[in-house]
Amino acid sequence: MLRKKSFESLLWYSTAVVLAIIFLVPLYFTFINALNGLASTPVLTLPKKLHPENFVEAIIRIPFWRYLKSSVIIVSISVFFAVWINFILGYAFARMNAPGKDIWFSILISLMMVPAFATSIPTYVLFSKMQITDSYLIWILNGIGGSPFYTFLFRQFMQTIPKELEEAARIDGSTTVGIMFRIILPLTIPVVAVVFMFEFLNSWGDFVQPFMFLNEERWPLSTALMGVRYTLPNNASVVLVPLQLAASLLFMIPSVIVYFAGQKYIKEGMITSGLKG
Amino acid sequence: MTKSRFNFRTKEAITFYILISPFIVMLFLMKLFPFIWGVIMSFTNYTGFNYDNLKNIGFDNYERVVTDNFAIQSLQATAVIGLITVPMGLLLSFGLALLLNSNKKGVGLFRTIYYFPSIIPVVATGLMWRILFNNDGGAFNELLGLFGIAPVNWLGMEWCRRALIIFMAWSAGGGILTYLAALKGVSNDLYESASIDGANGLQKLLKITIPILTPVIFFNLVNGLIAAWQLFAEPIFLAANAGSLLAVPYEPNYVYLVHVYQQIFVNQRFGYGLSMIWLLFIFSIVCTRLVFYTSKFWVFYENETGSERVKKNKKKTAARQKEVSSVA
Amino acid sequence: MKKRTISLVANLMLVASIALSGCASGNGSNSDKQSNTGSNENASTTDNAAAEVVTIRTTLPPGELSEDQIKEFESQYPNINVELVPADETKLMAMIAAGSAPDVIRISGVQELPTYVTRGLALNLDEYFQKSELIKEDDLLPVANVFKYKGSWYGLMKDWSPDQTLYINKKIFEAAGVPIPDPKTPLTYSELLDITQKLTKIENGKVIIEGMDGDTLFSMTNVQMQLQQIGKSLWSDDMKKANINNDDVKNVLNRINQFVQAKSVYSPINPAPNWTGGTFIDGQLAIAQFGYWYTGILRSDSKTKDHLDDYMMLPAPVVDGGTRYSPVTGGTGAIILKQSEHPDEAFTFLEWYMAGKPADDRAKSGWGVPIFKSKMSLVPQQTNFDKQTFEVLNDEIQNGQTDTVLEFNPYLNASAVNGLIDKLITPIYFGKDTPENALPELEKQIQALIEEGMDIAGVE
Repeated sequence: MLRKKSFESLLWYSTAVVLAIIFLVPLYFTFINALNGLASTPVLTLPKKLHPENFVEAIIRIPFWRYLKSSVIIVSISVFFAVWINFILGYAFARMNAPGKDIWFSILISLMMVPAFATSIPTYVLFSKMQITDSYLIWILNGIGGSPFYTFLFRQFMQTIPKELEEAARIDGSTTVGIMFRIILPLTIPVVAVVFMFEFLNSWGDFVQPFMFLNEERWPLSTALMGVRYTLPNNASVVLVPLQLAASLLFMIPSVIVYFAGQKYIKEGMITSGLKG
Repeated sequence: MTKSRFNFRTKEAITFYILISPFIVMLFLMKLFPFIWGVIMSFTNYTGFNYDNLKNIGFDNYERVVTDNFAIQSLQATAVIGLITVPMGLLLSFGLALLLNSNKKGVGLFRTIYYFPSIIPVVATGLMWRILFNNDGGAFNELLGLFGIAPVNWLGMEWCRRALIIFMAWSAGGGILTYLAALKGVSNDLYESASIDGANGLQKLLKITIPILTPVIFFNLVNGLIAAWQLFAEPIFLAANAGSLLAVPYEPNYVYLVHVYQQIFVNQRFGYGLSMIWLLFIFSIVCTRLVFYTSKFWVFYENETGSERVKKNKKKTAARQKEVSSVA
Repeated sequence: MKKRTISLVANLMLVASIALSGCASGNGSNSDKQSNTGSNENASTTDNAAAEVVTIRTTLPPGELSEDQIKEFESQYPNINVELVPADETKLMAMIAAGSAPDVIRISGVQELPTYVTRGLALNLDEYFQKSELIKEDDLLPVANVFKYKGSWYGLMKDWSPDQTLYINKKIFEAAGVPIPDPKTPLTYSELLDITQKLTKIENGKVIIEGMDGDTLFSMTNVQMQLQQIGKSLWSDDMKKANINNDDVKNVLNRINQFVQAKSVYSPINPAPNWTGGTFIDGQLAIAQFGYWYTGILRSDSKTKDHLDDYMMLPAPVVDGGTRYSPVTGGTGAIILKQSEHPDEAFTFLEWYMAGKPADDRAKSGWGVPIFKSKMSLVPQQTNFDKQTFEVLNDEIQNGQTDTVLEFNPYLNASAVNGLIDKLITPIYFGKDTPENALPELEKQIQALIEEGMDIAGVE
């Protein structure tokens, strides 16, 4: 029994480790090559001469701050609306009753099946015809409209909150808005955190919409990383790979931070309740 | 009495509609209106400059999709790649989740490592993999060189699809969380009673774990399919002349949405591009409906429907037994 | 507490983002024809022109128009301000459609001028040229024709190069035992094929030395050039038809494919590690095909500038049995849009930039060849390398038919054509298709593009 268990452990660990190595290899290569000299050939192990200044160079050589500023704007707008609008929508669908509510809810859910490109590309064509270019308007409009998935998350979670709490508050004379923000909101913090996290990761990495709707000056970091190359000052065709890699790594950092901060809020119950419902 | 209730209900209804008004307004403004406008435009020869003298050309754009060799090619590429990556993604996430469903020390670290790639924005991973696959100086070819193997032109026509699949396999860990959460929700009693009945590991997997997890599998399947026919970013980043959304991957990776972007952004064929989008949209609706329909047969929900089904099965087997015994 | 922190953070972010997006000049350019620092329309009449400050907007990039140069111009012409507006092709087209485009547009004379003229976007500058003090037509080299269309002037090149000249690394030639070609006689393509094969060294699948770069081998530009050398063209005379599916083009394609299959050239089946100009500098490439501007790189790069005598320039190669032709294939310059509100000031800027001090500076820098005969003496001629390249340059100007413009179809857009080539021709290199299959399809697709282009230009 004991031998079987320790053999099983060994098997498990060796599989897990081998897989872990495979998964880490690309990041490892990226990291060591980001520290490589600009004119050196690519390396397979830590380079003899480390160039940590590449990370600084990556920020200096392109208008990094400008791109970052734009990223912050886009992410802020997206996250702000994602949290608040969907919170409100979620509460409305979870707790309120009104004629036609179910119809609107099924419309909302079916929107989840509508792929992004189906509306973003016609919207692009429409905007360019109306000559609205180079504007953050699209994120504001999209944000105000809410998002089916996040509304769904809020609604599912709110439905698990006992009705008695609300009823008690109502008896005390609280308004609907009051209930929303004083009672429901504190209890739905986990969902707020999850929505925050998802939307952050989503909008931070979105490079397609900014490419379509913004001029190069207002590109966020994501689109810039795709379309802007680190090159020699007087020769736009020589790509400086270590800087490119360093920039990618820098770009990943906020995603990692937000993910780690947010993941403890992903309670199992939340995930499975959504799936079973 | 009734009066105050009536007022309350109306008030509630009004509040409800005020609360969801942003959704309704934007639904019309940002979803329905562009949608319908786009459909109308797809019946014209809109090419970016001729808005003032558009011609209604009926279904010409849609016909063109069928006769356009590139469109057909892109459909094939998307289909083949999807047929490989969707099952692959399901198997990988599920398998990894199984592995991670354990209390061994360090399981959290491993879970982070496998899940990690799926949270990194594709812009960063695409760039990373593109550089890794570089013919001269890419890490993989350097590695091969160590073993004396000649460099492989990963981004060339012969290997680019395989390179794409390798790239996507690496980032396929996204489903792990949902599988893991569901796995943890499976009551241990089931496994224990199965062990008592003499079931081995494989049987437990097939007869207990998988059936209970069918909702999660279904969820990930639908997501995977949707992602598959919307594939766009990864082929673009691996294209030889990557650097913009208008990069052209080689034929094996030239997927449908890439062709759409080419038509709209490079050729300015708005009408044609829009018709391609609607075709894809209709396809995605039909496909999801199909998958939802088939889910009746293999997705097993832990609620009344489930036990109803068990009841139905019991009735069926009882009826059959009666038949058999009546013949006998 | 948690709730408050989160809502506080969220609200701060919203406020910050609104403030920042407000600072980043508002919500888009809604058909607003004037730029923020624009002039007052009513005063654009001639009388008080001197009192009003006019802003000219241009798409010239900072690398081609420096802040110092702008300051110089503005001090010389205090009533004109210059503003740089970055714009890629798509955005530029959108701005033109909206009527809010910049005044002076940087374009490739060879590849883009026909399109701008046939769409009625470019301003005819004949009158301006006649009155100009800085631009004298008889001082212009024949190659300036690039910015002439159907006999009228529309702009000028800032500088140019015969883009198909070859640079060789003599050391590699010597090591491979290949005799150094005579710079007075252009090589034929068969000679080039032979030489590149001898120079290429591939060991164990890894390229040690590559024969030639191949940057300019796979494009509509190169095919057109080779056709013009035998008196043919890809286009019908009226530009309405594409003649691609024929033996002449097939021969060109097969010829190019010979280089590719021999792996004596960088190609999709044999990709270069980085920019080929860089591999030449690193000593890994024997022959690089670039214009005169490449001398600027060789002169300034630390790996090459101290031993320039190892490098030599050769004239552009010739098709076997064809006539020598060494065209400019880019020809970066600028035009003025017809829709510009300040054509006079735009022209003042244009002539200063193209013919005034900036042109002198560009000639002296050795990064390009001037378009004026009088400025040719400013081109560097100090070192042996300078002298040798200058000699070949003049030879090309004299004997390379530089007055003949490389014909580009005005109804086509370069990136669309390149996309098609990538899709249809690349499989041939990989052995997955043949010219017999691909050329008819290429012709059909390009003809469709031409017809759409004609539609846009309002041509029947």
